Amino acid sequence: MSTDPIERLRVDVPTLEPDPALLERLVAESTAGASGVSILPRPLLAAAAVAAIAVTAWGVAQVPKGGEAPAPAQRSTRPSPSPDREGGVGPTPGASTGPGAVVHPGATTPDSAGDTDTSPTHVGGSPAVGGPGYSGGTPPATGAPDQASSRPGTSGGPDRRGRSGDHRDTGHGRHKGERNGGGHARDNGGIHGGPAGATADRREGGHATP
Amino acid sequence: MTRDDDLVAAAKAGDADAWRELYRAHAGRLLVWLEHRSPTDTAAHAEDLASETWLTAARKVSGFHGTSEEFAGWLFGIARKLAANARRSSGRRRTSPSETIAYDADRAIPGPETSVAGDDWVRAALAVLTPRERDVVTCMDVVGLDSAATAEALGMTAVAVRVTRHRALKRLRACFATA
Repeated sequence: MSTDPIERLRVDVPTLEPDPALLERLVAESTAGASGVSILPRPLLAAAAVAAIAVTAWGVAQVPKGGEAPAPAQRSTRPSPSPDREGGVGPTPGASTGPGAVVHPGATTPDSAGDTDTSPTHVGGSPAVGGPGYSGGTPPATGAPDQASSRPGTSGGPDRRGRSGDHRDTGHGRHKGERNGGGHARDNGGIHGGPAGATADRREGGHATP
Repeated sequence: MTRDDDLVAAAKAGDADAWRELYRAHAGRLLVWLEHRSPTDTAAHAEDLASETWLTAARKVSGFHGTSEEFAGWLFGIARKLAANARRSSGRRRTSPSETIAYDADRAIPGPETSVAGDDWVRAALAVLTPRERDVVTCMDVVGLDSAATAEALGMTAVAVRVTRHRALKRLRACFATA
């Protein structure tokens, strides 16, 4: 018996017989490998794959050229919202007149009619300040002092115009009045407008004050 | 370049008898080596790896040049790489129960594979070695490969194989002396 324990590590390795199915596959795989059939198509397959990817990428790159048409259309439609914005911004000060004025610029609501009395007063009082205060960014056409003074609703005072004046004019005029002087709007809102108009006027007057 | 002997040349040509002869010569120790180099792997896993190794060898035998003895080192090298791939993939999937079920030699039920797996004492002795030392000792002292085939199988130089084996045997002797 050996005294060296290292020699005890040796294991009696058994002799295994191959399974017939495994042996058949070994023969088939070795034959296929020797013929080189499985080696040749690989470069061809890689080249075909690269060509397919290149064609696909080129085709994808061609597609957006036809799809660029909507882009100018979008640019052309960009100015169109500005009139809407003007129209919307004009009455937006309707927030100062109450929720009813926001619906339509031309609509005459009791609140807006009540506000029309006050707005021309401001426009007439300080017509030069009308333009730049628009929060919509686009200066209104009526922002010039001359135009504002030529309008029927803005040329005279509220007493001359009456209560059923043009709402659009009153809206602009109102807006100008607000921008012209927050203090005026605050005072008039307190006198003629409702509580909502008064608070909104105070808010806008506060913005314009700094 | 090493010339093929008759057995390897016949195997390349697809001769079934040559493959049977190669299988008889190397399949047993390939299975023993796979079972001893990673104790946590099950016997079924080693058999799967051995079968996959043989199929891969048959697929790539056209690129091999050498004798039937050198075929052993080349075959063991294929098995080592497949085992590493299987270990990486099982680590990613985390489906191996080896973390929760530890190998217990006392409670293991002896089956027909124990004749191939060898003595559990060998497993316990190899457990004190590093994986690299265990690979070398298993190849040379457990299944009986020579240093050149071991170097080919493990991707090492023959000098590195000898140095590693020397350190491993020294550690084993010290371990046996204290036991």
